Amino acid sequence: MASGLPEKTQVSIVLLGAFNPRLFHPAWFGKQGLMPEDEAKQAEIAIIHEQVAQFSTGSHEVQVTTDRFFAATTRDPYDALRDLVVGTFLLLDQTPIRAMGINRDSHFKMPSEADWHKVGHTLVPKENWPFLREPGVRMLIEEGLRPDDEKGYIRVHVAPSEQIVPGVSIQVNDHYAWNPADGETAVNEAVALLATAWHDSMERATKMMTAIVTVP
Amino acid sequence: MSQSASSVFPTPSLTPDEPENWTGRSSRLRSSELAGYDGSVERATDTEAPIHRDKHASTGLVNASVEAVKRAVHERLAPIADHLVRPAKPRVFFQALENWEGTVLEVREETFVARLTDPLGERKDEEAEFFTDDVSEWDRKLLAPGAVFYWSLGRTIEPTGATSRTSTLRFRRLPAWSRPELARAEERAESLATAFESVDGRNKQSS
Repeated sequence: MASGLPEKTQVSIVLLGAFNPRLFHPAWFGKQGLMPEDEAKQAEIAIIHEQVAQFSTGSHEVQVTTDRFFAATTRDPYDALRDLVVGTFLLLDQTPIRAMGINRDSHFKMPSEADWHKVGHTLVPKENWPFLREPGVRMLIEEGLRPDDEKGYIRVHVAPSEQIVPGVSIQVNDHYAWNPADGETAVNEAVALLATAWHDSMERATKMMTAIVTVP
Repeated sequence: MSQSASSVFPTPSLTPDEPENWTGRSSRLRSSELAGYDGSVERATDTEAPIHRDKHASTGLVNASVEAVKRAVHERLAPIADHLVRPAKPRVFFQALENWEGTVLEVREETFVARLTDPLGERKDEEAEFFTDDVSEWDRKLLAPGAVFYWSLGRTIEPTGATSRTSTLRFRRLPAWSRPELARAEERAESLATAFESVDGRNKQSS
């Protein structure tokens, strides 16, 4: 049985809408006080172009295309990632946004191969697959309704970890969908949710993951 | 679980809003997405984080985050894409053991006193004194009574696997006018929600 503590975790926020990638230069984040200016100056820039922007700092990774904004961190405090995105879209409060995902990806080391197999067999009992020889889970995606009044879903991916062996990789996608009418934007909803529901989302994902890997 | 190299792509969801809001890996690939791309496709409805995988020759699964960026660039800048987009570099991971949110109460000569609050509300508030030297230089100008910071205790795991105990202090950074703007954002969201509800109500009455 795993300890329930992941070896590796990445937390990310994905926004769908319409963006101008050129704007998302680390210098802009530094100048606006959204990240330390020194950190922004030391950012490793992969590309800043009208179609795509990608850079990483010691703390965060940002990728923006014309229809998707992605920011991630593997370092606690994860709240700093939330602040970065909230601050960004408080400033860019006319950005067309229609959906948001709060994602938590973790890799858990299993104490033994037997425990590792047990996770897959518990989620997808192999006796239900008599037509396959030695069946095993390659990837499982389970989706459920949201536990709140928001539109969207919670989607969980479970797969063998390719970073830790024997290990289990779990991603929880906490998806909010607003789909506003043409000319409207859900940027305020996104910002408000990040400010108020962030910790609930993080805690919910952690509990789900712990329940999956600590099968008796 | 299975470590077989064979690929199993999940079938698309049969939810009523498929395909527009499908956030999984769709088997219905647009021809523009296929051009020069042999991996699984994350459509622009996907709010999932790209799942980093190593490339397998038999499945064509590639580093999804790099490929998502390459796809966007490829459509416009095919000759330059491979030069500009680099594969993800090894990352440092942090295994959190304890998290606190702190509010600075008093700044002294070499230390500061803060009230610590559990972000999950499970532990009682505490007061603690910290050394100013433990604050990153770029955060020190934020050190003032009322400033909010995050204190994380855990383990840092380097790409090499080297592990060490770490304590991180990071001050909250939001635009200076953030609190009133947050309140306004919430108000705007609420008024929009009310407006949409009344439009829905009128539409239902007339239909």
